[in-house]
Amino acid sequence: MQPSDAIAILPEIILTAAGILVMLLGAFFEKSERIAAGATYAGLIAAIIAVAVQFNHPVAAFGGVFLADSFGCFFRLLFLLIALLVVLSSSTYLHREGLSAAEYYALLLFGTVGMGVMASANELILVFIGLEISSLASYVLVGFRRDVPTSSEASLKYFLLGSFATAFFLYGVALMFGSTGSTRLTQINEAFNTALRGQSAGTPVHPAAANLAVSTQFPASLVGVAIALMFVGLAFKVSAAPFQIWTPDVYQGAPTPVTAFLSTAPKAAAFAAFLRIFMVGLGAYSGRWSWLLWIVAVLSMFLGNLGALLQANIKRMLAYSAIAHAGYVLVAFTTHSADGVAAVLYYLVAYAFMNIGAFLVVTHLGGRGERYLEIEDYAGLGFRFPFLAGMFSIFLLSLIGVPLTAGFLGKFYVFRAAIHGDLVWLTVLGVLNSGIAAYYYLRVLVSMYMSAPAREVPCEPLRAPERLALAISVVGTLYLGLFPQNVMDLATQAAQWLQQAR
Amino acid sequence: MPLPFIVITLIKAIVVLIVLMTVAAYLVWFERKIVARIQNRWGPTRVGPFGLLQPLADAIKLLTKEDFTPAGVFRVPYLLAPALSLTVALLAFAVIPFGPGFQIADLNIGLLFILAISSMGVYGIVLAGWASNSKYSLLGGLRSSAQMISYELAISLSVVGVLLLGGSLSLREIVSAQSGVWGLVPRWNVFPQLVGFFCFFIAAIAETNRLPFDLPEAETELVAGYHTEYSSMKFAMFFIAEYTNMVTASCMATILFFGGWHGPVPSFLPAPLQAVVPLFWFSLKVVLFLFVYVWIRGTLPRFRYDQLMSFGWKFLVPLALINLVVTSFVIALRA
Amino acid sequence: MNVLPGFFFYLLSAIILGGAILTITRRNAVHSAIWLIVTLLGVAGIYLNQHAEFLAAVQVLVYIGGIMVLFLFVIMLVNLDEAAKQRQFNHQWTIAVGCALALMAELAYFIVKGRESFRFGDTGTGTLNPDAAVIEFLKSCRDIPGLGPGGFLQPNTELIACALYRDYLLPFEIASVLLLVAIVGAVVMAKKEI
Repeated sequence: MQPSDAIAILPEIILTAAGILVMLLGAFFEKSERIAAGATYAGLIAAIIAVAVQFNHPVAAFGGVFLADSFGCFFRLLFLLIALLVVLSSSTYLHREGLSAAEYYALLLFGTVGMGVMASANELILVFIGLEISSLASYVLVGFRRDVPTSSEASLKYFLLGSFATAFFLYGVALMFGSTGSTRLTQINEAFNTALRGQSAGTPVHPAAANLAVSTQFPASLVGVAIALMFVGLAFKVSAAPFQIWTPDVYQGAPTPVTAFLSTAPKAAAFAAFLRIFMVGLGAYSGRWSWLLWIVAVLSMFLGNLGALLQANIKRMLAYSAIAHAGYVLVAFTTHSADGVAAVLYYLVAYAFMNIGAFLVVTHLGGRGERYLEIEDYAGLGFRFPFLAGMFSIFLLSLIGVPLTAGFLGKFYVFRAAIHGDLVWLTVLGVLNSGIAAYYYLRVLVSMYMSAPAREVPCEPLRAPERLALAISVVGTLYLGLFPQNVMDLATQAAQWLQQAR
Repeated sequence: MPLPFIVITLIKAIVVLIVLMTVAAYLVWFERKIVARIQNRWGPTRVGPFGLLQPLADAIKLLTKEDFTPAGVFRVPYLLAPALSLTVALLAFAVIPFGPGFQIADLNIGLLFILAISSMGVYGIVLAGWASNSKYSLLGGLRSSAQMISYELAISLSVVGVLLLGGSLSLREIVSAQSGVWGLVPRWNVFPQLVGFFCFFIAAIAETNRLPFDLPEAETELVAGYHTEYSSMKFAMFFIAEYTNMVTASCMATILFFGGWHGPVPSFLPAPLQAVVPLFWFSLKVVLFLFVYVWIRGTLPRFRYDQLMSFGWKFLVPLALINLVVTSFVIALRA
Repeated sequence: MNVLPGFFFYLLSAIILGGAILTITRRNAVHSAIWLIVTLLGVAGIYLNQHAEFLAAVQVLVYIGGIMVLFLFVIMLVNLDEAAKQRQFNHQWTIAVGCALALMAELAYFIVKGRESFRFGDTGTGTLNPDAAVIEFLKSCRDIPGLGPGGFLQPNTELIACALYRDYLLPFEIASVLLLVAIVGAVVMAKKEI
């Protein structure tokens, strides 16, 4: 290990150290909530600085296993931002529900480490380990309200199905190694390119594997199975249909701030791994997997949006909408072009701001024990708490994709990339779905401003960290809707970097 | 695989088995004698001179006792457990080098083999405890599994230091690496690895379920622990397994830390005798360790269960870890 | 003599598969655990058959000597008599079996079609054919400080060391974070009072 290697994973080192520190503080201090939160903020901010410094100095660390390139750094920055917002919005919640803060923050930090590793990994095994770290942290966070049965049930469901999905992924990795003799994405790509060009594999992919990688012609069927299995594992993690079945239950059962985290960060991390594996490693085989993405994208959009129409619980509704949004992202992914990747990145950032903002309002209004989560509890909110209702409206409008908000430009970039990629039908279906989606978001808006409250819903005033988180989310949502250029430039840069890496 | 090879290996194995059985039997006599002396008694004196035929009498007694299978046991595991215990205990001797060339098989992962085999030894006890369908047995089995897991960690960690010094997993090469002297002191691993040896030996006593760590069969609380429901030859198998394990542990301590068969070979002896001298040194060291075993048994009281656990996890494992870190640092700096 | 490795392979595979099926169908949890141990032993045997002695020993040491002992410990500690009386399979098991069989058939079909890529040289002879690149690789590993003066472990152990501490250093180290998360998670989920 060289010093440059350590610098490349410095953000992850900082986060791990912060996580351990937070746990120790929790063990040794009587009233540890504030101290733990402070250490968490410090760790996250230090990590953000470390990533920001790396942004323009891409390095390949650990002999090319870990790539701290602009693509990876873009995602790591996003995860850290999400983690920061979630921590800000959790402190009041944790206090209200009487949950132990130190472990919660520590798990959040460790989960972020796993995601950072996933986003920068150029090695399937590393992707797997990162995936497992973030998943394990998520399983526990979902079940963090231990005395609430729905929370435990959600945790168990997520754990069982998630383990199953990662097993699929791992089997895919094994078969990929079997057919190419390597688990390193760039080498897999090299091997494919050589094979497709019909040349003999001149340079061995790995010294130890030199005598393993024998055939120059890759049996397409085996590679196909490997791709399919890895696809299943990753599609589960981004909650794309037909692997979406867990999403509503888990999102509903999890503590609301955790739901906000789950619907943004691990999903973005899974997309990062998805993009890197499929664009870099399997780019040469795009003909084989792009139609797969096409089907899954359409299914996700329809199942998500139609499911959301029927929901009475706001968390379940947002869960179904999360499935649909994964579908939109997959539309951009289907193009497998630099444009499409940039659109994916932009959409994920936009979605993070608006979704965390929306869940923040849901957290706050849920009250002690998360009692007020039905959509009818939001009736008349506009009159009783105009400020909160206003904020919530902005987020919902952004989720619909109304102009001037982040959601609109996100969708715009997605569909533009799809049109450029000649995916006209997919674009049509996507736009159609945006229309369906508007209905259930508007239903909440209408209920907030146009109906009388069904029952008394108490609401405490917002505290400082929540206000800050809310402010950041709103500003982010509006900023991305009005001035997309800066973020889009970064996204384009990252996307081009990914394209070059092939 | 040529036939002569198989035959030679078979002969070796039979010789080792016979010697081992005798040693295990006389170890009982040895223990009874020494414990008696420690307690200012005579020990067995009636059967043969100095009670030397006592093991034979014991064997006849055990063989001719009624073989009793209690009602309500889980039959297959109940019968399997003692056999498993003994088999696993004997397997370890396949790779132990008694002298240069006196070894059944020189595996290149000999050390790992021994660790792996001894880690399986616990199944005999756990299965016996469970299959007996009796409270005392079950408690003994439970205790044993927890104890084995805890102390196995310490054993493995303490051995890694030796591994780093020897640069090999083969037991023969570990012994070879300990030949020669530093000035007056022999190049035995025990000198650089004193802490490692300390951890190893304590953990080995716990692994073999001997006093002061014999909680799986603590007679004051559990009647006889995991073998409460066993009689006759099945009980004898557990008994032999325990003593064989003691011999294994002593052999391992000798090989890993005390230079194995190395020792001064007088040059005036005729050549055939010279070849046997290493065997003598090896046996002497092993007997010494066996004596220490018995000595500890005769002098120390039994640990309480929580003391045992906290001693293992909070003292022995960290100590072995520190030893490992320091050793690897020193080796890395010297390289 | 070239028949033997193949024979052992099929024998061990039969043991593994049989053990695995018995593991999931036994009603008594202890029996399941015992069959799982048999399965794991079979896997160790497969490693041995492929001349991966180190892996075989570690498989026994870690899985059989460590993890499964803890499994048994927990199973015996917790009274599972109630669980044994519960219905073992729910009424969807036929569908599940159907799905699993379909998936298996699918995978088998594709793997058989793609078996070309599994030509890993002659497994019968067992030893890694050390061609120039591998020898070079091993030599380059030798100068890692701390490998000891003799420095020549057998290639299998050495290759694993090189893979773990050189090529896959980061995954290997990051795995410690994974374990830490798992420990924290287990304590958070299971402990009465945090």
